[in-house]
Amino acid sequence: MFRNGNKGIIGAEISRRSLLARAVATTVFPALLSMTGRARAQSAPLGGKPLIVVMKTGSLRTLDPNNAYEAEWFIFGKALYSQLVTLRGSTLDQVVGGLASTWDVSSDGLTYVFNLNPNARFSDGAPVTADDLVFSFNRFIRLKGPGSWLLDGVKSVEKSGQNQVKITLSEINVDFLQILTTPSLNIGQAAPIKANGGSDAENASESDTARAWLDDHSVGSGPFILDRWTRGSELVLKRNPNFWGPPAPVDTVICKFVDDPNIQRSMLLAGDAHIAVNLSPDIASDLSGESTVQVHQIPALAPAYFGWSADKNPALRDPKIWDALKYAIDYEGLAQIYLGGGQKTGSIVPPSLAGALPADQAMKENLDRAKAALAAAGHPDGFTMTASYASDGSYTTVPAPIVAQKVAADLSRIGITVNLNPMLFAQMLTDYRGGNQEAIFHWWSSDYVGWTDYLPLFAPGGGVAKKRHQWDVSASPEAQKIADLVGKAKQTLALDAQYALTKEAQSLINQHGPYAFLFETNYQLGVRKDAIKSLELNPVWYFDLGSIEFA
Amino acid sequence: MWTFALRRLLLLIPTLIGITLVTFAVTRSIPTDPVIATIGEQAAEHPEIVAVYRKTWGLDEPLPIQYLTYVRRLFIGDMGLSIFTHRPVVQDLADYLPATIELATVAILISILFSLPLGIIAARLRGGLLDIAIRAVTTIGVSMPIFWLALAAINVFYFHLRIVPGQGRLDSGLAPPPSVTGLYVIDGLLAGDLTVVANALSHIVLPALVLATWSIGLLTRIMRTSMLAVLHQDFLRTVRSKGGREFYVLTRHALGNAILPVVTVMGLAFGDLLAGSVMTETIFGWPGIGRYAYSAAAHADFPAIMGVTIVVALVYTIVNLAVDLFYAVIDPRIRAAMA
Repeated sequence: MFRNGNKGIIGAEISRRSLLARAVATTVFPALLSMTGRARAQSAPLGGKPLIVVMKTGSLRTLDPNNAYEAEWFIFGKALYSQLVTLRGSTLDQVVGGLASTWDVSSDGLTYVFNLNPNARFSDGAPVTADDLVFSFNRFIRLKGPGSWLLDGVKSVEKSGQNQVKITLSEINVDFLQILTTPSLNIGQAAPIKANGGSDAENASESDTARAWLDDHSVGSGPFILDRWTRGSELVLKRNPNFWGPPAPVDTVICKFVDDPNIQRSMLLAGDAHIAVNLSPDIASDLSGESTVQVHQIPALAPAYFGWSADKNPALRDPKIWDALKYAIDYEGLAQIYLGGGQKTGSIVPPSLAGALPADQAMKENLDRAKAALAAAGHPDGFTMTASYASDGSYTTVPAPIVAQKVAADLSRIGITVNLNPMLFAQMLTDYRGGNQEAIFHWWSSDYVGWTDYLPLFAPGGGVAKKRHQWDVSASPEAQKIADLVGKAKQTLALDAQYALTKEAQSLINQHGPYAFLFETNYQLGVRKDAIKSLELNPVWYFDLGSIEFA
Repeated sequence: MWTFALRRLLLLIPTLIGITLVTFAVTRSIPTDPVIATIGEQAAEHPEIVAVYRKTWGLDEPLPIQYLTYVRRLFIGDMGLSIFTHRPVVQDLADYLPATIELATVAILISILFSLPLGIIAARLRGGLLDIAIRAVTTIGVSMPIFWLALAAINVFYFHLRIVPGQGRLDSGLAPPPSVTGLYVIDGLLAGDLTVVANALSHIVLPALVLATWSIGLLTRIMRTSMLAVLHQDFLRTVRSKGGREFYVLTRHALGNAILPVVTVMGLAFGDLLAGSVMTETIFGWPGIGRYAYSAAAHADFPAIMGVTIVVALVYTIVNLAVDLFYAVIDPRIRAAMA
């Protein structure tokens, strides 16, 4: 009766039936309605109030779906826009359909054909079409934004049928589907973007002017729409009434930008925030004892490491010294620093990812072996080296200075004196990327959920290994072997064989590479138990705003 | 007086040119590549992406050309694009500066409200218990680290006592008023939205009080010292002997003669507040120019650094000019000299 909008009370014919209907309507109806309203209020999550999430401002600089690439963007990208394919929660090795309901991959791994879900709609109700997808991907590539390299190797993106898109690669990319789950590869509605200066032309990096408009308007097909972004303050999302999937669980989400983790803690405990995203290890540990808050850990897919160059210190030229450095570090002791903000890692590929070396095969402290290696290298009494770290930096939430001091103290036990060189992060990064660091404490943050984002760069000859650590394939027969294994893994489509190659390569990197992989970092989220029952956690977008289960 | 003001304003131009030159030279001498430091690890390895960034910000030009281009654009009000936010710096400043102006104005008003009477009382009751207490409190005020005070204040007044709201300029979800000045209290009044006005005031009280502790301490001590120098002068003895009440003596006669040094320091304090306080703004979630400046420095965002420097220089210059003009208002001797 209540949902039938066609038969109203007004205008009913006078008859016994209609009089009865009127009587019911004027007495029972309001009573039932108020009960329903109360029930609605009771069943509305958070008593009808907005969900409040506190998070750091970080690097969020734009809401342009084809240009935004920062870690802080992904939670909004996932909420406002849809991707071709996606991940379900923290199951990272299985890609599921997003805008694409099905897809086919050619046997040579070079052609992907996606069939779009015909029910998919943008927030204004318009259908999501293959033309929108082609426009979005081409704009993403041609804007040459900080994430545009994700589609390196894409030869063409073209409409191949009604609601069908074909993407052709110039070379095999075993993680291509994983890349497509990144909420930087969003499908925006082409028409309003073009109407507001957007372009997917070859010269889009110069001609496109839609960014400013997109910072205040969303044109996606996600469960939410953008209400407003008050920079430095908050970002407000509203439920998308035309969402083609299950409706968003809450009407309004307010993301408040709070940079101080102590204040995030205070707001969470006071009940002025339901979720705090950037808890530091000590605050998270403190909150774990609170009855009103639950702390969740999500692997950030960002391993912290200590690396050195082969050519800036005479002692560091000798691979035996590399052994000494790696075996002298107290990896177990580092857990006292990162607490819940980290976990062991087998090697450079984070343990949550397919193809990672298991954490139990990580490097282990062995002081005797470290001393023996030092002596064999002709430095029985140790030597001096310089290592830089970001004085204003942290590995996800673990403060960089403390990690650097810990490792330096570990190495001093075998006579290696590490002169720590604190630098501003931006300056250190410039130096490091220019290959000018003797040794460095750093971390590698995730661009997408796939081993190819890590291993090829740290393998001999890779972008990190060669340019920053002077570790090339010619360094040793083992280096050549590692490079060959990685090269072969990149071309191997059969998953078991692929991962066997990646694991073997990582094991060899652990033994022969100029790095000591210290730990994998975690995000730690604090959640009000009285408000939220469960979250679908994810290392890329923290959690899915569209899939929250409320208490 | 207006000739004086105009002359000072004209002097701004070479001053700003000098400031841009020094800031440009200093920022460019920092061994940081803002493009490499800003874009992601893998993007930095892609020459075509780096090239687009360099071209957009003119970083592929020789340094003298970069500087001249910057100055040329500055004359038409264009401070360039922020390397970090990718927005015009002018637009960023228009977003962040009003928040700081609003906070600084309330903080200095609070400072004046407390420091003038406290300084007068301390001077009048010199050596007494009240004088000692005032001096002790003000010493604590200038000595306490602001960041600690901010954290303690939030912990006590927000978290435990719940008598002030939390972070930011408004309650979560309360939309800002239509922007005319960027000052939420003023814009709220202009829009007739008293809910926003009340909410904005409730949010500004605690951070303004925290910021004001330092300037209250400083201004109180200056007021006291200045009053002490005036209180024993002959002309006041004459007023008293003519039967003038003490309140009249202090406020109508002594204060006017003692206020000049206080006004000078007030101007400096106001300028300092307007330059933004990174720690206070971070802890209170205040989206002001202090946080913007810190972010600019951390990201080697040259255009933003230049923009903030110019704005802060302008602020100090205008505040100092206002102080000088105010001298002429309150002191006829200075007014005559200016004429």
